[in-house]
Amino acid sequence: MGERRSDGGRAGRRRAHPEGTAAAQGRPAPVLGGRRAVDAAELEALLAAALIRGGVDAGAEERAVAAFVAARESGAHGARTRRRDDWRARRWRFGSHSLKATLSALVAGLTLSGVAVAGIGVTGSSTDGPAEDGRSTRVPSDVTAPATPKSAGPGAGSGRPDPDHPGTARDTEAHCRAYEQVGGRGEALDATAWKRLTEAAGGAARVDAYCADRLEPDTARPSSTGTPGNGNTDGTDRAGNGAPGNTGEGAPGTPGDAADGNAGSGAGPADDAAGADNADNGENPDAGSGGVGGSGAGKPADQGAQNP
Amino acid sequence: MGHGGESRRTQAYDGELGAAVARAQKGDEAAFTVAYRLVQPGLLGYVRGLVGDDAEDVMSDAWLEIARDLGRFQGDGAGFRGWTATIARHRALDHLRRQRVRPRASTLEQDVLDLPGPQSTYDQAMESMSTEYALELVGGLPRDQAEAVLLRVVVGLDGPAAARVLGKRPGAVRTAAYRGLKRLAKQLGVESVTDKASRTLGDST
Repeated sequence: MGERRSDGGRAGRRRAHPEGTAAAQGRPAPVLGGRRAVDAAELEALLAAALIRGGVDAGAEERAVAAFVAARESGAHGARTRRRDDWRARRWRFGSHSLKATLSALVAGLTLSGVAVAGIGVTGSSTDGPAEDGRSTRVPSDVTAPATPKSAGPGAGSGRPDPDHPGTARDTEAHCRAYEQVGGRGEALDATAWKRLTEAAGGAARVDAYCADRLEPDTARPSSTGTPGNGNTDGTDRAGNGAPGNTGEGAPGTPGDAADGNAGSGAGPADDAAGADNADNGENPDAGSGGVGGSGAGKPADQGAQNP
Repeated sequence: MGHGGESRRTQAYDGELGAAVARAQKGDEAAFTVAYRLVQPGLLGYVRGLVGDDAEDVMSDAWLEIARDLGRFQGDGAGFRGWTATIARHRALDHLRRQRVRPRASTLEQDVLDLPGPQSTYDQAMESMSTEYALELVGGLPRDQAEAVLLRVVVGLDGPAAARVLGKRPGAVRTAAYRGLKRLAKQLGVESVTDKASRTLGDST
């Protein structure tokens, strides 16, 4: 280290004294590549050399070892590891903040996969026949209409009237609802959702008009959610009918579709709604839209009263 | 920058240190002595930067705690340096708190007016920096920078470990260490040319 230090000294000294104090020393100037980096390392080495005194005080060492022996004899070394004593691996390298971020990403991922699995379930139940699988409690062929909105909760009635509606459009609509829900303050939305919405609308300023257009047909429709008597007759074809329209999207909560035989689909996404509630905490736009779909049930009902 | 020669030097010992700690945890007092000799000089240097001449006493206390709680510790050699540095720091801060009741200038708080004469500092420093001078230089830094520099350079901790010891975010500690070292380099480079540098050293903290 001494050799490196003297090298660094000359290099630094030349920098400090351009007139050539170092040259006057007559020592051969070392050729150093990347001198700045070397200087930085030299500085650290100098500090370390100055602050770390070689050797340890024998008395202090003895006392420390005596304390160690005493602790060993008293059984103190069997003590439980506290959080601050755990320096294993790299767990501690993630601060609480990033740990939180990691966890929410994990939760969002799990939620999303839950929604996807639920979607598969809905499709499957529709093809296999109604109320045959494990979800039969949720997709009951014999559920009466009054029960349906109850079991589906606010996420009920998610049947889309147009099954050929592309998924992105449904997303956009869901984002529109979310946008509406937060009172037109786009920044309150999930960042991705807001970005997609502005992209779809062609600019933040046009989101209002865009969403108004998208949502108008649905909001104008009178809400029949919670109206008893609709579902019972439709219950028979609901299972076959509802699923293709939604495939567990759960997003667009359009009430009033029970007449189309979609009460069953309303019940199906009830599962999704459960996932979607969790998703509200996550950052996933799709999952978020699921939650939004639920809220749509109440909102369009209000608007339906105003618009027509 | 942060990973200078010192970090590499200490990293080379980490394997040996980790093994010694593991054996010490099983009750091997010779291994404990080995671990002590490996980490004590760096810890002492760090604590000296915090409390000055009382560093030996503070480290004595710290080692009592380290020896007592060794069974609790989990980790490797690098982790052991971080763990012991945390204990040493707590003892040092306790010491400073007690001192505040019974005031007495600590290294970090004292004014750095008694720096060596400007005409010779740089040459002298680069030939061999005295402990006192190094302490004064480091003591002239803002506290967060001084601690970040000491943990990194003297104890040999990496950024995340130093951050854990200090209870700060790694980015903040990395920045503090960088600024501190930059400032020291500047002082060493400029001081011999103009007297003003040594004034700003004391004033700007």
